Amino acid sequence: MTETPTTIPAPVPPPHPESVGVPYPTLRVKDTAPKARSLWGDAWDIMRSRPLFWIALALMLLFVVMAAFPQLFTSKDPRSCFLINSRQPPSWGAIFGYDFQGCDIYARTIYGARASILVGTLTATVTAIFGSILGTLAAYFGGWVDMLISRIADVFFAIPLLLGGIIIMYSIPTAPDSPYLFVVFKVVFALSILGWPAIFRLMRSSVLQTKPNDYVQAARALGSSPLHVVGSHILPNSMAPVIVVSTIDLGGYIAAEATLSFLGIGLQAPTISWGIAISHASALGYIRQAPHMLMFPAAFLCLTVLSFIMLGEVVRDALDPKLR
Amino acid sequence: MRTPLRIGTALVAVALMALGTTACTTEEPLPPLEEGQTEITVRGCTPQNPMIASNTNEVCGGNILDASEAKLVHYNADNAAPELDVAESIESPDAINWTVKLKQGYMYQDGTEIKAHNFVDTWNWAANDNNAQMNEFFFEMIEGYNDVKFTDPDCEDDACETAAETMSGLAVVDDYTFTIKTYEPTSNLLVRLGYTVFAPQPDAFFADTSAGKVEFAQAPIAAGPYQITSVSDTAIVIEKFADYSGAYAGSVDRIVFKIYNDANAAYTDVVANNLDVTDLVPADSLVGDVWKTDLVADDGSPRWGTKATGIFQGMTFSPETTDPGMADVRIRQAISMAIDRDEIVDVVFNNARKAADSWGSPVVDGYKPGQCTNCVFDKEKAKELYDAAGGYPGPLELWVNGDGGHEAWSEAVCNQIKNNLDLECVVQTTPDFKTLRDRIGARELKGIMRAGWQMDYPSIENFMTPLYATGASANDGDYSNPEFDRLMRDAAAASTNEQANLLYQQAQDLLNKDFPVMPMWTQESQFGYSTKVKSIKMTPFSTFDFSTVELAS
Amino acid sequence: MGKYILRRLLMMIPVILGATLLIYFLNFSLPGDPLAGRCGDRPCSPAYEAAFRAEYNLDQPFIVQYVRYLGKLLHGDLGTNFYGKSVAHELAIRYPTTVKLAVIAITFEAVVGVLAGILAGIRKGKFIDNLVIVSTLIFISIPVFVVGGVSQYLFGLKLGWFPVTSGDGSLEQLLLPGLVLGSLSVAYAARLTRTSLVENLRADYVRTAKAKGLSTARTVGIHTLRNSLLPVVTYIGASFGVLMGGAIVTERIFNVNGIGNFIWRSISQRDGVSVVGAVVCLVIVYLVVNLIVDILYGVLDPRISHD
Repeated sequence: MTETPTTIPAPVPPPHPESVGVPYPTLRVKDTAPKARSLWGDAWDIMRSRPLFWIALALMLLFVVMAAFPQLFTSKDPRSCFLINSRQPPSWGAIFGYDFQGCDIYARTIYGARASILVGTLTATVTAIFGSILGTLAAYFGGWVDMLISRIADVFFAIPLLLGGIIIMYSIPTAPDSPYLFVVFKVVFALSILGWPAIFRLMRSSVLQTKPNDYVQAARALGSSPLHVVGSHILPNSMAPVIVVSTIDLGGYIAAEATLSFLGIGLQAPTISWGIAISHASALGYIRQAPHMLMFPAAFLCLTVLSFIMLGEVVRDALDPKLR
Repeated sequence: MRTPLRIGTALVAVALMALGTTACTTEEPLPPLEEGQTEITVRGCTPQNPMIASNTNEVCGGNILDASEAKLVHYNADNAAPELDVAESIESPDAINWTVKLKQGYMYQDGTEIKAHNFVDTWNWAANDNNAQMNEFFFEMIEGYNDVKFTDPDCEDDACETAAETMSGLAVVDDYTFTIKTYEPTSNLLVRLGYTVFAPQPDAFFADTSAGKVEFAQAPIAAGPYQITSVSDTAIVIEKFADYSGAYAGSVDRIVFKIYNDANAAYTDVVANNLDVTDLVPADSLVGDVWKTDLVADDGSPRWGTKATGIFQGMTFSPETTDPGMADVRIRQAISMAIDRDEIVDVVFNNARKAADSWGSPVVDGYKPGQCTNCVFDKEKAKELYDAAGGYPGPLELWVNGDGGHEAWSEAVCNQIKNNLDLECVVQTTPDFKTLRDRIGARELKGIMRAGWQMDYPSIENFMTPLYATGASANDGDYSNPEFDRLMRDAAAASTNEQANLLYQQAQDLLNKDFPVMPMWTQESQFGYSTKVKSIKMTPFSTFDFSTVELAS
Repeated sequence: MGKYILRRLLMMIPVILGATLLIYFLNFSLPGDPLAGRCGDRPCSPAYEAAFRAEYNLDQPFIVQYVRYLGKLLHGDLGTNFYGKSVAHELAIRYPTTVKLAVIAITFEAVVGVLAGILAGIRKGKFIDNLVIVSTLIFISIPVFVVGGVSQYLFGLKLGWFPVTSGDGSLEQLLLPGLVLGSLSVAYAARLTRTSLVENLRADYVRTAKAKGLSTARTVGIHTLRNSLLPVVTYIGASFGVLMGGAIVTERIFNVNGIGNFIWRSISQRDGVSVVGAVVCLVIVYLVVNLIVDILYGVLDPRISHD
C-alpha cells in the first residue's frame, strides 16, 4: 500500500484540543533541570546511543549520494539496452540481471534513485513548510483567520491522497517533450496539495499548546513583535512533531509515486525511476518468469522508505519525554 | 462499570451503519437454465454507447452486436470470405449500380420480417448528420452521402442543416429488392456490406422516439442467432434465438458476457476455470509461453488458441514539409532496415505479432508477402545507406499514444535504431490516442509516428486507399503519387477480383519504392478457454464464432 | 450532543462545496479531451463531436457548467454519464460492494493491527516487538499493487485458498481483496497501538495498579488498553480515506465491481460527470465517518464532552 495515512503514528490530537488537555506531550524546556540543556541536545544524546539511528542515517546518506552522483556507483550507461539480453537473470556481468528491454538493472536502479528521492524529499519539504506556516498562522491569530484556513484545509483533507493525486495527474497533461523536472514537479505538486492539511492540523494543535506557556506570554507582554515571538519562542518549541511526521511521510510519498507510475500517470519513460521499474516488472507473468526485474528496484524502494521512517521514529522517540 | 455498555452501544451503531448501506444490494440473479440447456461465460467489457450498430465502434459493444445482428453478408469464420446471409444476391454490371435481392421470410426477433425498406431507412438514418452517429463514414461511398452532411461542419446548435434528408443513391424497388448507387466504382462493395453497421434495424427501431434511440437500445431487436436479453453492470446476457432464419445458428443456449475492467483478471479467472472464454491474454503471460502451461486441461490437451487477425501496424515517416530530415528516401529505408522485427516480435510480443514484410494483413484476399524489401533486417546496409544520405539531424522522435500498451515495443525499436544507426532516438508518448491523431493531423510531429490500421472489411483495398491515396483521411505522411492513385481507381473498377488484386500489388511496389510508411507487424490474437469448453474458434475479426462452440460432455 | 452534531453537519457544507468545486475544476476546465479515443482509429465526425459536446455542456464556460451541476446536485441528481446512465444509479449499485470491502479491511486492520500492537507493546524491545516493527515497515513500503498481484497469484491461483477474482461481490470473494486493502493500514494501526500502549504503561495509574499487586494481564486489559485505543480509533476513522484511494488499485486487480473500479474507468475515459459524482459521494461518506468517529471518541473517553 502506498498512501500516506492522513493521521500518522504520532500521538493524535483529539478532535478538540481546546476542550481537553491530552495526548501530544508538550515539548517544553524543562525548568527543573539542574543544568540548562536544550531539548535538541537531550534528543541528540539519546539518538546517538541507538544503533538504529546510525543504520538509518547511513542508509539515507547512501541513497542521497546515489541520487546526486549515480556515476560513483556504476560506470554503465543505464540507457544502453540490447533486446538480446531481455530478462536475463543476475550474472557476473550484470549483478542484478537485465530488464525487459535488456537494460542493466543495476545501472538503472542506481540512476532511478534520483527521481524517487527527489519526489519524496521535495513533497515532504513542501508540505512541511506550507503546512507549518499556515498552521502557525491559524493557531497564532485564531478567529476568522483560523476559521478560514481550517475550512480550506478541510476541503483538501477530505479528498483521499491517492484518489486526488490520480485526478490531478490526469488533469494536467504532460507534453511529451517536456523536461524531466517538469514531470517530477507535477507529481510533487499533486501530492503536496493534498498532503499539506495533515501537517497543518498537526502544527496548529502544536502551536495551540505552546502559545499559553509563560515564556510566550512573557515575550508578548514585553512587546516583542509577533514575528519575533513566533520565530524565537513558538516555532522552536512546536516544530518537533512536524519534523517527525514529515520524515515518516516522506517514505509514503515515494511509494505513492510508484503507484501513480503503476497506473500509468506518474513519471514515465524515458525517465528512469524505481516506480517505473516496479510497475513495468510487476505484471504477474513477469513476476513468475523474471522476479529479479521486480525484486531489486523494490528492495531499494523499501530500504529507502525504511531508512526515512526509521529515522523519523528514532527522532520521535528521542523527542518524546514519555518514551524515555 | 459503564464502559462495556458504552462500547457495546458504539459497536451496535457501527454495525447498523454497515448494514444500512449493504442492505440495498440489488442485482437480479439470472433465471436458472432449463434441463439440458447449455451456457458459457465470456469475457466482456462495458459498452461505451447505447447498443446501436451505427454508434458502436469499440469491441465491448461490438462483440455483442456481432452475435445478435444478421447482415446481408456473413464473413466466413475461418478466412473472412464473404458469404450471402440475408441477401439472396448482390449484383452490379458496372461496380456503380448495385441491385440487392433479399431472402424472403428472414425474421426479426420480434416476429416481423426483414424487408428492403429496413435497409434503406437504417442507412439513411445512420448516415445523416442530424443523428450524429459515430460510424457514419461507412456510408461515404453511397451517392448522396455528402448531401446528408451539415452544410457547415462546425455549425452552431441552431444553424445545423443538411441539404437532403436521405441519400439519393438508395432506392426501394419492392419488399425484397433495393438498389445502391455509388459515387465511384466500388467493386468490393459486397465485401464491405458484412460489417455490423450495415445490419438492418426493425420497424420498432424507427418507432422509438427517444433521443438517440436509447430506449430501443436497452433491449435491441435484431435478426441474428442470439438475442440480447439482459444488460447490467456486471453482465450482458444473450440467448439463442429459437426461430433464427439464417444458416449460422448458435450452438450454446446462453452466453453470459461477464464484465471485466482488467484483462488480467479475466485471464486469471479462465486459468482458474471461473470464466469459460477470454479473448485477451495479457502480454506478460505470453512471456516464456507461461500461458500455454497455464491453460492446459487435465488430460493434457491445450485450452488455448491463436488466430491471425486483420490488424496492420506500421510507422509513418513525417512528411517532408514538416520534417525535411526525412526527405531522402535512403534515410527512411535505413531506419526500416535497422529494425530487427523478428527479434522484437520474439522478445517483446512473444510471437503475438508477425513481422510484416508487406502492406496489409495476411487474413485478406489479395495479400502478397515479401512486397516490402526494405523490411528485411540488414544493419550493415542500413548504416551504409544512412551515411550515404548524410544522416538525420537527431534525435529521432518516435511518437506513440500512451493509452494503447505501445511502450514496450516502441522503446525496443528506439534502442535498435540507436544501436544500429548510432542515431539518438527518443520515444515520445502522447497521453491518449486522440492527442496523437490531433497532432499528426496538424502535421506537428517530426520523426516517425505509429500508424495502426484495423480493417473495416476484409479487403486489401481497405489497407491501401484510406492510407495512401492522395488526400485520403488517414494519409499521415502526405503521400502523393498520381500513378498510385490511378492504380487504386483502376483496381476499384476492375471486373474480377484477381485483376483488382494484381493492380493493388503493383501499387504496393510503388509504396516500396517511395516508402512513406514502413510496415512493422501484423497481429495474432490469443485466446483461452476453460475445461468446460471442448473447442471454440476465433474469427479474423477477433470475435468468437458462437455457431461452432463445442462443450465438453 | 445534538447541538454539536448539528454544528458539525453545518461545517460540512462549505467543505463539500469546496471539494466539488475543486474536483469539478480539475475535471472540466483543464485540458484533456473526453472525446479522446471514442472513435477508434479515426477522428470523430464533426457532427458527432458537436452533439456530444452539447449534450454534456462541454461547450459552456466552466462556471456555467459548475453552477448547472450544483443546481442538479441540490435535487440529488448526479447527472448522466458518458454511457448514458444515471450516475446516482451507477453509484448505488456499486456502493454496497465497496462498503463490504472497506468493512473487511477495517475489521482486519482493527483486529490484527491492535493485537500485533499489544503484543509488541507489552514485550517492548523483545524479539516480537522488533518483528512487528520490521514487518509493518515492509508493508508500509511495498506498493499495494505488488502486494495485490502477488497475493492473487499465491493465495488465489496457486494455493486456491480464495476465489481469484470477485464477480458478484459476495463476502467470500471480497475477503482476499479486503485483506490486501487493509494491509497498509494494519501496519499503521499496529504501530500506533504499540506506541500508545507503551506510553500508557508508564503512566502513574498503571504503576499504582501494579503496586497494588494486579497481574499484568489485568493491568493491560482493564486499565491501559482502553486509554491506549483512543488514538487508534481516530486513526481507523481517518484511514477510511486511505482505503478509498487504495480501493482503486485493489478493485482493479481483483475485478471488484465497486466504486474504486468505477472511478478508475471514469477517469481514464475522461467521464467527468461520473468522476465528480463518485468523488463527491466519497467525500461526504468520509466526512460522515469521521463525524461518527468523533462521537465515538466522546463515548469512549468520558473526559471529552461534546456539550
